[in-house]
Amino acid sequence: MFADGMGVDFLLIAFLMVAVGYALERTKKGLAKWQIRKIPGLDAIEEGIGRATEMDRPVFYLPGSGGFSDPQLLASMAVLSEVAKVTARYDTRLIVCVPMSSVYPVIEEVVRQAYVSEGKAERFRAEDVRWFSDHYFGYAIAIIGLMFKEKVATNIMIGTFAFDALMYAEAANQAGAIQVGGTAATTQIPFFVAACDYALIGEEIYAAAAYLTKDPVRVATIVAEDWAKFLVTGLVVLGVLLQTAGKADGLRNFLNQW
Amino acid sequence: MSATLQTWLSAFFTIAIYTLVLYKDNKVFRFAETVMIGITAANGIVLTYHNYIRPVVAVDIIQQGKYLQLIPILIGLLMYTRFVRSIAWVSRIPMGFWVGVGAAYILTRNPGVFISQITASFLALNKLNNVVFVVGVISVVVYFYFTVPIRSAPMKGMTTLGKAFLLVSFGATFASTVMSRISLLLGRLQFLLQDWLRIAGV
Repeated sequence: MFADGMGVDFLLIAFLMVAVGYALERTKKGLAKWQIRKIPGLDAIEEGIGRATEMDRPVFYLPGSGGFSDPQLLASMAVLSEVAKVTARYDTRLIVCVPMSSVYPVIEEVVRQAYVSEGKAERFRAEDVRWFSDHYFGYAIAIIGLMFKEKVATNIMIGTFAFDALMYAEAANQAGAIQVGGTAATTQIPFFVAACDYALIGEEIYAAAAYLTKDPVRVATIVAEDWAKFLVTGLVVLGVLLQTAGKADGLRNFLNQW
Repeated sequence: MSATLQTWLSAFFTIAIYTLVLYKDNKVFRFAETVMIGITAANGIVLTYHNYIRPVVAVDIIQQGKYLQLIPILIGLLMYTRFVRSIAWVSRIPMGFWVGVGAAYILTRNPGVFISQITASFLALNKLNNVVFVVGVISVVVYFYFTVPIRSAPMKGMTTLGKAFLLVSFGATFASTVMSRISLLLGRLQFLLQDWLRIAGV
């Protein structure tokens, strides 16, 4: 029925879908009030936008270099939408730099829709959603230059970043910006932790949209993800105990090959 | 000093880019930045033409008659309707398609990665290394429980331990990456001193 190893993948996806549906249903009926734990990096986003508003300087947003098959880009788009709503509300300039021409129109649309939803369609500036080059170095150097030129007050970087993470963080720091950085790229998280005022570590970027909006549908997905993590923890504990007893092959083969 | 134009240009642009970090925003940096953006953008267009547009149109469609490839081209062309206000909404069709395909790809491809990571954690608790690994994995996963209140002592302990594991791994990654960045800097310095100025021996 399934190709090797795809059966368990299917079960995991089915589990997540049922879990999201169940959590959402309970939320809608008022049977459960889920609360996401405090994530300081996300609280800092509004603070950073407030700072930019007071200083009358722009907020800078970088969605990372991922394409549409990268979950970090989808998470970043959700955060960008919320950031754009707040900047629209405060009448603060928002500059978004996109590294891929294929992603550019969608990002522009995300920002435009955020402004429209806040009733500030006329404040949306298409020229502030910018693409420079699909080439990493061209993009990176353009962003660094722009950060200095525009004297950004707040720099928010959420998504996939590579060697360029530290370059942006350092440039924004020199430009005097408060910074929030978040990525699930394990090699780059340390740079955000070291160079940014607030860092979102790995999984936290996926919880960001739910945390910022408190939208029941999004919160339900985080609850379901937590249930999936309980399952993962349970499987690891079971697998370790079986391996210690020398009997983990059956479980390992089932998970890898079924 | 080197006599080749290429080496001189490389040296000029290397120094021009460093002026931003070592001095401040200035016209030399701006010039280098603009040249870099222009060249990389133009390079992207040329590469797209040679690697995608020409092979698909000239070879696949015209020579080999693979007319089905016209469908994605037409969907892609719809993207340009965004420049005509009255029909700009049409551009949302390819955008929606694109995001949908991406999300579906993520949904089907990611569980396999998780499963292999789970089974890789099945280690017998007969070595200190394995014990540290397993405790690290579990405590870090617990740290990322977002909807579980961290009030009880075991939860507080596990999340604190998870955070400690994360910070230790960040420190190690940071240090190793800084080392590699320094080797990049040395490479540039080597170029400036040896290839350009020729004042340092090999």
